[in-house]
Amino acid sequence: MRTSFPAVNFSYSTAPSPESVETRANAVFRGHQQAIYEQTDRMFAYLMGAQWLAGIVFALLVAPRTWSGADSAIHVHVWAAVILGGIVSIFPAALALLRPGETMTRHTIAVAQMLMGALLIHLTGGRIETHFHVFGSLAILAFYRDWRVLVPATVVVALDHALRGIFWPQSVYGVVFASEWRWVEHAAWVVFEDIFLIMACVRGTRELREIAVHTAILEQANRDSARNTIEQGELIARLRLTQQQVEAATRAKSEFVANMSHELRTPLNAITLYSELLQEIAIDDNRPDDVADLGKIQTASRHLLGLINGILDLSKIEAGKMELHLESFGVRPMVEELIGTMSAVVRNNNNTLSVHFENDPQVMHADLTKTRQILFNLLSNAAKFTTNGSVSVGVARRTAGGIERIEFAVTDSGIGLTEEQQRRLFRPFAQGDASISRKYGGTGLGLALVWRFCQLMGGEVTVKSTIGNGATFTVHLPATVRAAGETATATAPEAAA
Amino acid sequence: MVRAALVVVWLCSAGAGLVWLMAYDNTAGMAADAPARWPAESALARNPDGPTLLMLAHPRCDCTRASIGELAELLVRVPQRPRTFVVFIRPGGVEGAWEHTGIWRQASRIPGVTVIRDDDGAEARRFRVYTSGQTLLYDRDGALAYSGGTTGARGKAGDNAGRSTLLELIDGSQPRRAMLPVFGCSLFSWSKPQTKEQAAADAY
Repeated sequence: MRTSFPAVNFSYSTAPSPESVETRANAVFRGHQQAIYEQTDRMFAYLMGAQWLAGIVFALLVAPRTWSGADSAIHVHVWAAVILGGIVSIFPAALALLRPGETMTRHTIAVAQMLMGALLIHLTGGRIETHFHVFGSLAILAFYRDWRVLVPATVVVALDHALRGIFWPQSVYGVVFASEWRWVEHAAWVVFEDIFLIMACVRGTRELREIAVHTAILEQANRDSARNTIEQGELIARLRLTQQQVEAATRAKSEFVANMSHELRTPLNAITLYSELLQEIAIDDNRPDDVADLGKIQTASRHLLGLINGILDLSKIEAGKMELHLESFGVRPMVEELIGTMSAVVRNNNNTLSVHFENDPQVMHADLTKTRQILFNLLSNAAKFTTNGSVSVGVARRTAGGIERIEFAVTDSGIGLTEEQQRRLFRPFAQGDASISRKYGGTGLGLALVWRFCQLMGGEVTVKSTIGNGATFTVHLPATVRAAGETATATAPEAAA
Repeated sequence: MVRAALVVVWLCSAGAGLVWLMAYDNTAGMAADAPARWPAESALARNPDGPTLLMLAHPRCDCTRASIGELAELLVRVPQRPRTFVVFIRPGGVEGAWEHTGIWRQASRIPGVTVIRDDDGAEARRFRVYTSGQTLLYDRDGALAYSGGTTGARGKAGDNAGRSTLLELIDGSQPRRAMLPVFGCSLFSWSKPQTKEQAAADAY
């Protein structure tokens, strides 16, 4: 009987071919079915032997000898149990052992099982209890999960009853006179059992098919998983190699930049110092044009020095050579001193500068220079991008999750930032966009350094802004920066905002 | 093809074996040539007021278990029990309690049945009985009413013509004499005369 496969939803990320799964499921099903046939054949081979032996034991118990006066001989039933039982059992048992799983084998076994039933019934004197062997055998035959084997078995039972009903009715019906159709009644009871056994066989076969389909699907999924694992492993290896290459390149670049910065600063310092000396001479000689020109040289030199210092700091951080110099200092004096220094810069663009202490920030233990640098850079940016507006600094000491933090919030009413600009704001050399660099100047290193200094001290910086409505940069630093943070390496700022 | 032929041969062999076994079990033993009237020389006391039932049996014949079982069934069913004897043959030359077997005990447990040992088959010869399980029914006048077995095949218990006929004869619903086959072991040794003529000659 060809049973169609159950509906299965083939939904996979790797989308295996349903045809290949069905082909595999068919193979798995046939394998399972063949295994069941062979196992059941072997079971029947042993059962045949056991039944043969049981028949001999029955015969010996019920009628071991036949008598004639004082003479006796082995009873015919004993010989029948040995010889006829052997004929009935040996051939199918041999087939089961030599040709397991073949159709002819199990059909022969089905017939043999019914013949053995007839023999056992006979040897036990037609006891009604022995008739249960027939029904039991049908149930055991259902182990094959092949309903076809029930057909020859049933035919043998029906034929046995029909023939004996005609010639020796008492041997099968227990009455002297019986209808010639009474075998139909007996066969009907066998068919009654067959119906349920057939249902069990069909159901068992269907379940076997479902198991085969699920096995095939599982195998496919395992293959896909194994392939994905291999691919992922290869990808990870490539990524690791690339990462090592990038790290090596970064280290080389940082070392190069550090060296170059050092080499640049030496002549630049000389230029600055000599231009200051020349400016003082020009002032003394009352040469105002030279004084102005030399002032420009100094301004340019300082700008360049600041740029080089920034690059040097970034390089140190990327090379893992930036060290923290932790000390305890009052937050309020530090902020007020910085505000004093920056007030002139902020007010250049006609801005107002205010500071607000939400509570007493007390003392923090951190790198004073870098903390000051963070606030300096943020205030410089705020002043740069705000005109005729306001710049304010908010300071607070907060406790979150059992950790005390100092919060610095620098708010301006300047040009603001788009979301895209906020995303790449903290990357080195990345300003809002190219036009900003042209219009407002700057190198794009300030916020990158802010990010890295915050990271080094175990803190963070965030930004909230809408274009045209200013921005608020909020820095959270631990009130007590841990020493372990001294060796921390800043990670890439991808989405700080 | 060869295997199919082997299957056919096997099937025919097994089928033939079963048919032979069936035929063997349904082959009757040598029928009794029982005297038409109760033999006067019998040591058994006939019931002058009613029927007398007599079963000759071999104490070691396993087929006879079914015959005695059917006899017990019969006696349960009859409205009025006849005087009943079960006579177990004891061949000459055997030793000890040879005849005291399970079959003897089975017969002894039937209420109203007298179990008798028949040394060297003297009573069997008088009644000219040769097969274990042979049952004879004599009416109150001593006339033979039934000669046959109480089973329908060797060692097969269950409804059968012998038991039914006996029941009808005892309760009077069947007036005519009946002769039916008997199934069981031979009462006499194979080495002894087996033909009816020889047995009869031996008996008298």
